Formats: sequence, structure tokens, C-alpha cells
Amino acid sequence: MPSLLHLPPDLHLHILAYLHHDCLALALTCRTLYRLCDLPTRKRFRRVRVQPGKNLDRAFDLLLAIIRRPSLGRYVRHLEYQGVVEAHVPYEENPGDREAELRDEAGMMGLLQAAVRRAIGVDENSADADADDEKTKLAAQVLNMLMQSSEQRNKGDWNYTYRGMHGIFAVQAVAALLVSVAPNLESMALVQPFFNYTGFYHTEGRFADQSRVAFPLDYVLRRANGEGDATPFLRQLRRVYVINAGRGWMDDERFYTSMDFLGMFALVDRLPAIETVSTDVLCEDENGKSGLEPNSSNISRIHINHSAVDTMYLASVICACKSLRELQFSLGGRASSDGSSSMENPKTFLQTLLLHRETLEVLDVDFEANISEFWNDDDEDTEPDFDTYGGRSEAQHSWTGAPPDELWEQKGSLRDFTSMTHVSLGLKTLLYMAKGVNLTEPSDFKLADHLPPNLEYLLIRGYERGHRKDHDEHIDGVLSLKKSESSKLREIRGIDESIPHAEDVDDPDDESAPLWEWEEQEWSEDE
Amino acid sequence: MSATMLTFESNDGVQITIARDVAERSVLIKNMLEDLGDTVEAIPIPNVNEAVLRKVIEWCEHHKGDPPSTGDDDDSRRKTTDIDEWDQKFMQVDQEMLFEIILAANYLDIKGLLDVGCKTVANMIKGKSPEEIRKTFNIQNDFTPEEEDQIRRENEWAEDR
Repeated sequence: MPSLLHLPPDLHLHILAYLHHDCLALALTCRTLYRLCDLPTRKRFRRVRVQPGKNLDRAFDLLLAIIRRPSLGRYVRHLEYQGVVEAHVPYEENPGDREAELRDEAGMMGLLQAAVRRAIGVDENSADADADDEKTKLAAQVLNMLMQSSEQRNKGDWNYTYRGMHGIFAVQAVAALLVSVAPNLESMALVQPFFNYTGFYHTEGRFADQSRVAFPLDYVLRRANGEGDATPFLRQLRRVYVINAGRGWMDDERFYTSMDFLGMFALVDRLPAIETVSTDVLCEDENGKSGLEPNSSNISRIHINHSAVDTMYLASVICACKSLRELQFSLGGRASSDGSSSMENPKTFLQTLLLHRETLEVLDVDFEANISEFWNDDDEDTEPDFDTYGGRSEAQHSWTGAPPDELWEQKGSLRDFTSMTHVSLGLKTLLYMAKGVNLTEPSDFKLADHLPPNLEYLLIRGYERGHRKDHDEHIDGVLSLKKSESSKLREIRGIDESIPHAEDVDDPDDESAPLWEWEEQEWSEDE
Repeated sequence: MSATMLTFESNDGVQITIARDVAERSVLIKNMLEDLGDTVEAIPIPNVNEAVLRKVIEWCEHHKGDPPSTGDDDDSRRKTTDIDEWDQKFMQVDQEMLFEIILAANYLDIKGLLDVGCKTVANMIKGKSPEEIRKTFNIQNDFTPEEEDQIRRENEWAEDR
């Protein structure tokens, strides 16, 4: 009688090819299936880090292994790319130090070449000879980049700006190829893989004829993200973390770091499975992309933490989402390099969120420390300020591009967010958003009556009992709401123990300053 | 004139007559017919019994108009376990029959049917604990508790989603 255990090995492998996350459970059933699941190999390929220097060799070896046996590519789930592009320098082909060895392996160069052409998208039967010619040329360059070890091209008499630049091409080529042979890739952590400081976004004037240097990783990401181009890779990418650790040659790790975060959207925002994009210590890059097209992005979860960007910048990101499910934003962890602080405006912010009132589930925002209207307790009318600073009247002049007009028509309050289950806000922001915008204010406003109807978790920052009687009453109302049977509210934090607002670091030279640092993942020796 | 109807004989001696285009879903039979030329004799299918053969033919009848399989063999593409509704119903059989169908599809080289069979098995594994998988497929646990612990410890990474 046939059974799972008694199928021939090729059928076992056929079945395993459909299992992505269940191999451990299957391996634990018995010895036969344990051997079949081959966990050590899966572990070796699961995460790949591609970075300049000696470590590039390891990534390159993994790439070759996949090229020899393509099914191994299915094991790759996470790719980390390190290699800041520090200059705009055209690529020059040179003989590579890896080439001799690769030519010794029968068929290897042919396989590599085919993989490169597939990654770049050279259409062997294309009618458009010009477009194809360009891609063929690029493919030849990328193949040449692969032939270089990272060290090789760092030698030579480049001036200080260009030092290391040619090593970056090799690193990008390996990363690009790995992405193209890993159909199950789910997450990436990467630094900005392109260079935008030479008028990247200016299509007029003296930058008009500047030809772009095609960095391979940047190229394959843009290609996969491009409209209508059903590339055979990156279809499962769900999470992207943009590493903004400030390792560029001019950056100082005590300060927020400017990075073209909006520009990164062009690399991933239309991928079919994309969900989450996150970053840290961000401040706006004035040479970066200004604004995003509203309602254009498949990204639904955004985490921008320890960062100093204005509400208008956030509005740009939020309006770009077709449907937003989660938003995390917090200040702090770094100092601002010019002593200014980001301009946060709860009115603009709420109106932006209201565009997603049906889908937003998780809202975790910690920016109240930068809303000066909330600093004192005199409760004066904040509306004139909120309409001006970082508000509607300034929107047209916003560096980040004006948000869509419909934003300013929005009215509503937290109560209108029907999917919202988790809220973490500063107390005054919470009260402001519960009262809502463009609504007639109820004479007897009670916070508990204006929370999202399906709220399960509420975290309040900056509340101290006994400081203000009216605040205590609102909190007591929320606490009794939690006890009532009809309410879904299960957990409230920040009542007994005050949770402070995040703040920009004041004095970065103070050794006890709470500077945020990127926690690199641990990598074991066998991966 | 090439025959439009062909007769096959299962390994338990039952003859079944079907249209040639249905039979040619099987790459094995298609190639055989090309070598054999026209035949009016019953073609023996030595590895497959009547019940399984009838199931396989039912699938081929339903899928006779399908385009020839595309490059799903491509290892560099992601494989999904989505199965269309008709195929799901078709695969609602006992486990013995399921594996018989998979083996027959493999032997007869019917790629589409083999894929659906393997996806069905994969879906029976997905989301289950080791114990549930053992129970589903009647697998004997031959690990000691210590070994099981060690495998879990060494492979915590595999739990990441």
C-alpha cells in the first residue's frame, strides 16, 4: 500500500518544493523525513549577507552554488545588502580576478551569463533592437562586475571620493543576481543602493543629459517594481528595512541621517506581495525625491522610528499607500544636526490618516514632544496654528510636494477608524484626535465615547495622575470602558506607570545621551 | 487513418476505451503512440489498476483542453499550492488512492496531475505540528525525546516566519 514514506525520492522532493515554512515540523516526524528536509542546507541559504570586503566571497560562493543547482535558490528568505553608493562614477570593464577559476569549471561561464541576462531582462527575441542593445551592454558589464572580488577594484589611485566605488559594483552585482535566483525571498535589509546627489531627480538644466549609472541591484529592483513587467523574482518580497545607520563617509552617528527614503519607494512599492517598509534615524534628504504619487503604493505597513521628519513628509508617505494598515512613527534617539526639530501637526496628521479610516489597524505615534502647542496646559485654541505651521496654508510650499487636495476635505475622529485595534499616542494627541477635525465639538466630550469601536489595546504617553483633573476624568472613563462587557478594550498602558514621550537627543556629546544604534542581526559561522 | 479511440488495459485486466486526445495528456502514451504508429490492440498499463486508471482518465478528460504545461519546472520560480476548485474536489479521495494517483501520474508522465497530487499532499502537511503530521500519514516516531529536542534547538531559526 503506497504511503508518504514510501514514495520515490523525486516525488518527495516535488512535494517539499511546495512547503516553505513547514520543513521543521516535517523533519521532526521521523528520521527518513528529517534527512529529506535537509535542514543544514536550508540554514546555510536562508539568510544571505552581501557586503564589501572579504565577506563578499561567501555570498559569491552561495550564488555559484545556486547557479549550479537552482532549487537551492528557493531556500533564500532574507537578503541583507550593505554597500553605500558614495559617488556617481561610470563603470569601466576590467579583467577580473575571479575569471580564470570560473572558466575552468565546465559550463559555468555560460550559466552565469544566462543568469545575468535573465536578471537584467535581456529579451532574446526582442523586436526593439535599441532597448535590447542597451540591456545586452548592461548584462555584459554586470557579468564583468561579477568577475571582480571586492578587494580587487579598491586598489588604484582613485581620489578620496571614488575610493572603494568599484568594489561597490561587484557587491551590487552579487546582490542583484542573488535576488534574481531567490524566488521565495521574503525580506530585505538594504542601504540605499543608488546615488542621488547629482541631480538624480532633475530632468532639466545642466543635469538634462547626465546619463544614469546603472547599479545592478538598483536596476533589478526597479525592473521588478516597474509596471507590467512580470519579472520572475521578487514576487514574494514582503518586508523591506532600509538601513540608515549613517555609515557614509560624511555622516556622524550622533545625528539623524538624511536618506532618500521616498526615492526608495520606486524600488519596491509596487511589488505584488510588499507589506512593510521600515527605517530608523531618518531625516529628509534635500537631494532626494520630493513627494510621492498619491494612491500608488502597495505598501500597507510603515515603520519610521527614531526619526525627525515633518508631518507633511509623513503625509506624503501615507497618501501614497493604496491602503494603510499600520503606522509607526517615533522621534528620538539622535540629535538634529542643525538644532531644529521636526514640525509635527496633529491636524494634518489626522486628516491624512482619515484617508485610511477603514483599513488602519495599528497606530503607534510618538511625536508629541515636538508639538509646541501642547507644551503648556492653557488649552488655548490651537486651530490657527495647526492650519498654518505644517498645515494647509503651507502645504503648497512643502518641500516634499503638496498632498492631494482631498486631504483637506477630511473630517472625522478616531471613532471613524473601524478596523483600528491598537493605538499608542501621547495623551494630548489622543484627546485631539478623539475630538476630531472639522466636526462640531460635543459640549460634554468624553474620551471613552470617541475611541475606535474595535479598540483592543491603548497605550498613552505622557500621562501623570493628579496633574490635571479633566485628564484624570477621561482616563477613569476609559478604565471603566475596559471593564464593560460590550467593549473589546483589553489592555491599557501608561496609567499607573507614566510613559514619557520620545524626544530628540539634546546634547549628543553627553555620554549618557540615549543614542539609538542599529542592532545588527547575529550571524552564525555557518551562514 | 489514425485511430480516434484507443483501448487500454489495466493491470487487473480491465479494458477501457477513450479518445486519443484524452490519452495524450500522458506524455508516456503520446511518445508510445508516436513509436507504435496506429494500433487497434489494447495497450497494457502494467503499473495501474482499474480504479486508479479510471480516476486518471477522469482527470485527463476534464483537462484535455488545457494548454501544454508551461515552465513550471523552473526551479527559480516560486511554487504555490493553489489548486483550482474542480481539482480540489477531484482529490478528495482516501490517502491510498491519493498516493496511487500520484504514482500513476508520475509513471504516465502527466505533469498537471502530478503537480495537483503533490500540492494536495503539501497542503495536508502545512500548518501542522510534527505529531499531527505523524497522525495524518501514520508515521512512526523513531526519534528519542533527546534527539527531538536537539533538532528543535539547532533549528530554532526555521520557526521564523
